[in-house]
Amino acid sequence: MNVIFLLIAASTVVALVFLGAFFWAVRTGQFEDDRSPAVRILGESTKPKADHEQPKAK
Amino acid sequence: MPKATEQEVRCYHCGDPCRTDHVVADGKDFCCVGCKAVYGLLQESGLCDYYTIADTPGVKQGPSEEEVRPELLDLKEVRDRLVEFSEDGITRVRFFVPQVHCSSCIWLLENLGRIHPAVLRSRMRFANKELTVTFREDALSLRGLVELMRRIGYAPQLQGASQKGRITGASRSFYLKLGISAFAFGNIMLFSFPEYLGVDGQDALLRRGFQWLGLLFALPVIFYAATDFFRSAWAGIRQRHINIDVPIALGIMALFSRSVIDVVFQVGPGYFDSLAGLVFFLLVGRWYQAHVYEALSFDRTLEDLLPIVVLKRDERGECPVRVADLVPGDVIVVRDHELVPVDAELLEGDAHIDNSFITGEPLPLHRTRGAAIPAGGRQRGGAITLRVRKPFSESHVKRMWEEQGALRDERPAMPRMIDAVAQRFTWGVLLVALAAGLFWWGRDSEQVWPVITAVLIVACPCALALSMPFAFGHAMRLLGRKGLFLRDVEVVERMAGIDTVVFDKTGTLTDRDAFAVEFDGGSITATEERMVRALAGHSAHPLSAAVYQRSRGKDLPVRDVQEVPGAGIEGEVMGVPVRLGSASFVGANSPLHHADGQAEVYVRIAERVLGRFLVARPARSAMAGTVGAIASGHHVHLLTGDRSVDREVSVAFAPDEIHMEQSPTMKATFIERLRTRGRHVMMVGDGLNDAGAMRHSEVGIAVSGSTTALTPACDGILEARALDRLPWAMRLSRRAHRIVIASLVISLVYNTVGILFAVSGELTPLVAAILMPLSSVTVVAFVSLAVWVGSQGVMRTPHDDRQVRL
Repeated sequence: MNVIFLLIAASTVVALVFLGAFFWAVRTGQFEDDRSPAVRILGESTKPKADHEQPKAK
Repeated sequence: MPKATEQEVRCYHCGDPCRTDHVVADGKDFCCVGCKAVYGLLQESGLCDYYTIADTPGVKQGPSEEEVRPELLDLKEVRDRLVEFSEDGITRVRFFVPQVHCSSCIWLLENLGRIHPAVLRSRMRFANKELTVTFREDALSLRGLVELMRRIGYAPQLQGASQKGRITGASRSFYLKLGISAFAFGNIMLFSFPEYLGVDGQDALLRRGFQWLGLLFALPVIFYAATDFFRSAWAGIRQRHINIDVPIALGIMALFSRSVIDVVFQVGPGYFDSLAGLVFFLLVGRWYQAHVYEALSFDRTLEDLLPIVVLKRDERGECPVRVADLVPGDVIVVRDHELVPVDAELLEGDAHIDNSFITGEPLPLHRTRGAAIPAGGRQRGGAITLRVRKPFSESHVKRMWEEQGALRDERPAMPRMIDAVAQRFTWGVLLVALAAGLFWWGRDSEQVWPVITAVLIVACPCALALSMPFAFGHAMRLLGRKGLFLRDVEVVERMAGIDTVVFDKTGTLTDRDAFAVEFDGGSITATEERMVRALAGHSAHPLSAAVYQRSRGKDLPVRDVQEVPGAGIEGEVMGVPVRLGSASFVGANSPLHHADGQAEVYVRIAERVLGRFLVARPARSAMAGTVGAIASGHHVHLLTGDRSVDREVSVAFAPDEIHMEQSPTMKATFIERLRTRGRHVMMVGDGLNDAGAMRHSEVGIAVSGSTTALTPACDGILEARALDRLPWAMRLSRRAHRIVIASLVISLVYNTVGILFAVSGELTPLVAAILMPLSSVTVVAFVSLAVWVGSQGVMRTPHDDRQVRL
């Protein structure tokens, strides 16, 4: 019967991992704009790949 | 697609009909040179995908009234307000770009780097229309960047930029609270299932384990997620005022303490699942109620409306200085379309001051040397030089603004229906709990504590608290889709109770930017008309522009153009001398009568005076219908600063409803008087001159040509093209109000059922776990459905297939 305690502990840990993922998502601003990222995808196929990301450090 | 395409040629860039300045390039039609220029620029940069993501996404180029002079961006003061980060020549800056409205806008602005290689990265945040740009400042100055954006039609709004609503920690922590309560709700419910399903007590340890886990998971809910309710309830109690959060906080505390005692003393499993569920549902309600239109600003201060810097001239030349630093005697330069920021005296140049912003006066006033120019007027025409008379802090506009009680806090809090209900409800619940306690005291004193807490738990007005945000929030979203943007859900409630509507005339019922030009005199031939148009095209004066817009056709060449400030313009068209201007300038005899608020432009071709053009501001097309529809159920009034009113406007009102020659302060007192007579007043206005009146009214609606224009502090912004929706909006708000009342009845029925369980001592955790979410869900479902159904009836109008952006 003790195996159920292990299972409960495991399921709680999994649940907490998801809660942690949610915290991360909130803190990185995933819920702040739901339109721009969807549009960003549209432009990506026609975009030249280079020089778009952060600048190279001098 | 809009229906109009069958008839009219529409601009490939902005979608406006191509009329006077129709330009064809590259096999595509453009309504003006500006639109074509943007197209050319985008094509050069290979960015024509812009046109495929959304139809006619462009923003029409026009003389923007909010532009800050580009050279001011070199000023450290201005730069510091915008720049977030700058190191090694790489700068990150954040702009508010109000023109952004569709997917194409986002796409184009995020691809700025393809127009100018110095832009390394640009990111749009659509929700509040903010663009963050990282760029190499050694290759492109901040000023260059702003000019680039201006060229493609997305001039960032720089005034008041630093106070623009930013996503703050507050909204993030709200999402965290919502997430935690959802997490706790789900998990505690799982832990409770064995209990509810009647797993027999063979493994006491397991049951105890689940109960303690429930307690553990409920801790963050009560100590973090629910804190807003406690705070609000406490604030209410301290002001001796019971708001809706008081019974909620009471219920939450009863739930928690009862559950903890149950678990610790092994009486029962506790109500932790109900607790977490309750907090979760309440937070969902709060989320729905939260401010929706983040990009719109409802709380403008005067400083937001006036420029922050101005060009000052001294012996060393011209340099930008902060308006607040100006002292009397300073000499400043104000150019076309710029606001005069302080009270000043005209030194040089020809001032055509458009005071519509302050007084509502429709047409620009001509001022000559030595005249006093009050702050807030907008110059139209060439640059003028002024001497500062008073510092900004003592300016006329600032005083006017303050006299009207412009400080936001001075506005009295409006009573909310829900709080009145909550007050009676709380006392009722406390009485029932007391009575039930006394009843059990005599029979079985062990039951007193459980019964009292059970009453408090089950009476927690969750459904009651949810009905208002959902009904009004839903109505508010529907209104927003039709062009009326409200500050928050409480405005919908106040709108439902309105019985008197006061309109401002200029800029509200009449169009601020359009002119109605009418020829008065003998006949004018088509050729003559073209000659007049050609000459008018050479002047920047607003009246010339109005005359120019009146007719269409190719421009004829004009020679020897001469503009006489304050009088008119002359030139030679096709070898014939033409003069346009005042009566004395063209040599017309005695000035003819003309109505107030109308301007006249006389015409002379060769030696003959043909007649004159009368220029006025026309009423908005929807005006008569709107006023008529509202007048059928409300008292209406018209306030205007003018001395007379055009027929068009006056027929919509009864004579005793028209109040003329009203100064801004008089407008505010007028509203005040109506309110002391017990009327519930809505003020529909536009500019700064109505700000006081709007503030004194219960609902202040600003009519605006676009949601991006600067509007004063108000409760709602109504797009000018949606003026005809106002009667519908008011009807919808009344329906929403009735729906809230119906939902209150439903939730009271649930509460009564729950209390019956509670006083009989039968409220088991299982009953609570079913009853509480059930009541919330049914009320929310009922309310959302009812508002939607209700809106179908009231919102259908003949223009409904008009495409709505945003």
